[in-house]
Amino acid sequence: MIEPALRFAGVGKSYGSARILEDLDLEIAEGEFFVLLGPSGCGKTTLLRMTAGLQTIDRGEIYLRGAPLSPIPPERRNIAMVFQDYALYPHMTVYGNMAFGLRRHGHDKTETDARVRRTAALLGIEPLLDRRPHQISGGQQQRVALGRAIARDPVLYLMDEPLSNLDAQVRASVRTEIKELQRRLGVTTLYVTHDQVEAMTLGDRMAVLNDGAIQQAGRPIDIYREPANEFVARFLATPRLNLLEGTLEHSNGSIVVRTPVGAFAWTQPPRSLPATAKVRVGMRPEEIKISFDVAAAGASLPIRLIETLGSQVLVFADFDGGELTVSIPADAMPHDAQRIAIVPSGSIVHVFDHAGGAALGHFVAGGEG
Amino acid sequence: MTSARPYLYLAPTLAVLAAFTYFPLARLAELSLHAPGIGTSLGPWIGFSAYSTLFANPLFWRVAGQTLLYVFASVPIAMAVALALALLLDQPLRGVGVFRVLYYTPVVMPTVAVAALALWMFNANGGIIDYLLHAIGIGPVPWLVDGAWALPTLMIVAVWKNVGYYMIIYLAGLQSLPRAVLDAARLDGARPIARFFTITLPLLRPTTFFLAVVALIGSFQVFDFVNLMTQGGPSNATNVLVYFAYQNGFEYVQLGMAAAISLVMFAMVLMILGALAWAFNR
Amino acid sequence: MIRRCASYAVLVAGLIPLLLPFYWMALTSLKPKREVFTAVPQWWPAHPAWDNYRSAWVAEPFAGFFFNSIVVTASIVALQLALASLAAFALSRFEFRGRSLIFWIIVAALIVPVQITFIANFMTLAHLGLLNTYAALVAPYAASAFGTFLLRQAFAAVPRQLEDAARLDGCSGLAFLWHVLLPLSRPTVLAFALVAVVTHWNDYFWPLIVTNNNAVRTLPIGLGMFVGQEVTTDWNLLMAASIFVSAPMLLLFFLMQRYFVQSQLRTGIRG
Repeated sequence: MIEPALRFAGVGKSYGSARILEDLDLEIAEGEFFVLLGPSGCGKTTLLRMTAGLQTIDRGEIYLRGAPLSPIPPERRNIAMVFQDYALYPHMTVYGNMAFGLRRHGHDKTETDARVRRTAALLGIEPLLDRRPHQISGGQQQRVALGRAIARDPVLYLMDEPLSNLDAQVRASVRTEIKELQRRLGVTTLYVTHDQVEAMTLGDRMAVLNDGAIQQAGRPIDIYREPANEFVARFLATPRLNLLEGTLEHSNGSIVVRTPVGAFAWTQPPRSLPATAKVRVGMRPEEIKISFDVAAAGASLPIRLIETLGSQVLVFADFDGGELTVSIPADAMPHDAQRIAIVPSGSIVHVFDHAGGAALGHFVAGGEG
Repeated sequence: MTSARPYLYLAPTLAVLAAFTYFPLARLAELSLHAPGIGTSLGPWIGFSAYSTLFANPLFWRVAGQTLLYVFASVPIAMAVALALALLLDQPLRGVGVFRVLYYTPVVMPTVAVAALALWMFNANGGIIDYLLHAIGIGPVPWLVDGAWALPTLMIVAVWKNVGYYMIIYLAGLQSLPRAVLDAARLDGARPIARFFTITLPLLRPTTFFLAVVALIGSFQVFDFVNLMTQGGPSNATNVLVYFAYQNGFEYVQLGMAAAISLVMFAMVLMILGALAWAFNR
Repeated sequence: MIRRCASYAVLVAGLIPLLLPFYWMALTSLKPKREVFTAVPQWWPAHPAWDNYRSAWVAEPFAGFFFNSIVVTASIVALQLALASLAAFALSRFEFRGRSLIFWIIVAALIVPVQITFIANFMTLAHLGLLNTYAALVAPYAASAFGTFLLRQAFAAVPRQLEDAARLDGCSGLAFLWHVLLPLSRPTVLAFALVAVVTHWNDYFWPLIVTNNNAVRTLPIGLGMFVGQEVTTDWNLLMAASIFVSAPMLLLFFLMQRYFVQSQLRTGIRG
């Protein structure tokens, strides 16, 4: 058995009686880019800080390449961290920022200089070495923060929402850069974010956290396709998940899911479906098939508002008891549309337990049986 | 994580403050309740008799009154002048930086040098101030030789020395006022004078309070000018509490009495600070 | 435009009572003795007597006083910075029992000046046999409530993430104080140090209480003795002495005036 690079074994954290991290287990492979995704306050930053040694582990243990981390002080863990606000030393130059940790860790001047210059070259920040943090842009500061971590040549990178202080354009380009860098350096990376796009684009694998517990872990695409529960489905939907009340109707081996916006045929339902009839149905805006040929369809919904995002268009339509959000390519949108009709066949449906929210199944609807 | 480290870091500071600030208060009380001993030892317990002797001494009441007069006349005058200067220097005028520096200069002067200079300028024999006043038909004024004039003369010197400090503090207060509120008042059509009394002055309240506390504590301590310029004279007209305690302790060697005076003065400072805090928090 | 001119007029008028004394001090210090008292004051020294400065310098052992002032002021300021840094570090970056109580104990010391406690402090030092020593001049001022308060505010403003980053860089505890907190708080440290230098260089009261020996007397005491002796005669020498006693602070002030003003802006609470 190969020991994972990083292993969380029953790791938990409490403040007084408040459990902010349930005892959780997780394994991250060598060289993997692993993303922790969750809303603020879900415990993801706490987990990161515990790994760094900035907070104590109350229960369980974290193993780095098989060695328990608890007894090792943060500066001796050979872990580097990139902070949300960059946490650059304002009174030192870029060079000083990158050199400081190396010098404190006992590297001599020559070795430090070589490493700083090599890292600066890698990141293209050589011209900035003599500047101070307040003299360079946000994107450049971010690069210096990365450089400070890279120069240390650690066995693990921890990144705490490193892109959240950048404006949208810079964010996209730095995101790509981080991914490429990590590929090139091959260093195991644990990356925390609340942004699902970052999680999807960066992560080799990811875990979704909520209320101090892991909701689901796996490859981003698998989690996107088959969210384990309502929370995960909601968190990975843009702009929002359509959640509908539904009922299951069993008819000769297949099932029909009835919702206020239409009935969807579930041709190969799992055997273990509970007997309950009431379920909750989740549909992402981009997973709903619609038609503007209202006359041909049985039921149709009036359009309340249209938002153009560029290549995509968001259509907000009213139905009895709520509002449905649908996303379609802009060129599929007629000018004079007043109503839409839902096309069940080909729409993707996520079925959740009505009480607990756990996923009962996911399917592409067939034609109505 | 609790460890001994923060306590260790605080220990030296706390030790010094305990030894030279808090312990002495207790020591003063002890001294004032005992008869004088030999050297630094204590004599027998005498209860509050030092205080009753003190309160029966008309000179004490005169000294206390003069101290209060000094404090409550010089502090408000200096603060008013300082606020006026700060308002002038808060404007975007060319060269305000130079004015700020010049007005602050007396603050960094040693009190001894200021006292020496004032003695010379206010001197009855060849002093420049009498000469200048004479040129516009006033005087000569018996600045330091007349009982009625001596205390006001010391006040003039103190205001000259301190006004720059108060001015800078007011300037800091003015520069931190929310611009948007002042702009809004302007758009509401308030005239400059009305703006000052209805907006600026109320917003400066915390600064005024801070300054009043600092200035009161500071001017209660007045000693240097008295000791150097008048030695409390003529005939006690400029005697103030710290000087009175100093006289009792080191000239008359009545350490118990001196301690009693110091504690009474401390009580007065506390009462005035309390009244001030009450007035400003209403 | 009218307001601007009026403002300048008032500001310039204010300079007369402000600057005239300085001019008069400098002028008198350069006058030969026979020009000091004249029926009509001379506004320019006809025969500048630079020699006055040398005469004043040796009228009292000012060289020794100068040395003592430097030793005492430097010791006080160094100790205050060291002790205040440590205390402020504890108060700003650690969680511990009694933290706010200790903070208030320190701040409350601001309302108990040495002008109230001097009798007791004199007796303590006399009892320890420390009168007429540098120790007596320095010890009561070794800690500064004011400095502790200022540095605490400055240290508390340094973000938590920076402390975390420093820790991962292998820099925690006193190394963090030295390499990060103090350099980052340089303006505050400098501002406080300047105020402390001026305060203790100029201090007259406490040295007067605990010294009666020229071996340890400081400049203000020396000048004070000069005031007592020369009061009716040699104003030119007294003014010369006043100038060389004040000169180091005036020089410091004009060189660092930006920081002085900044220090007051920093220390005064904001409106």
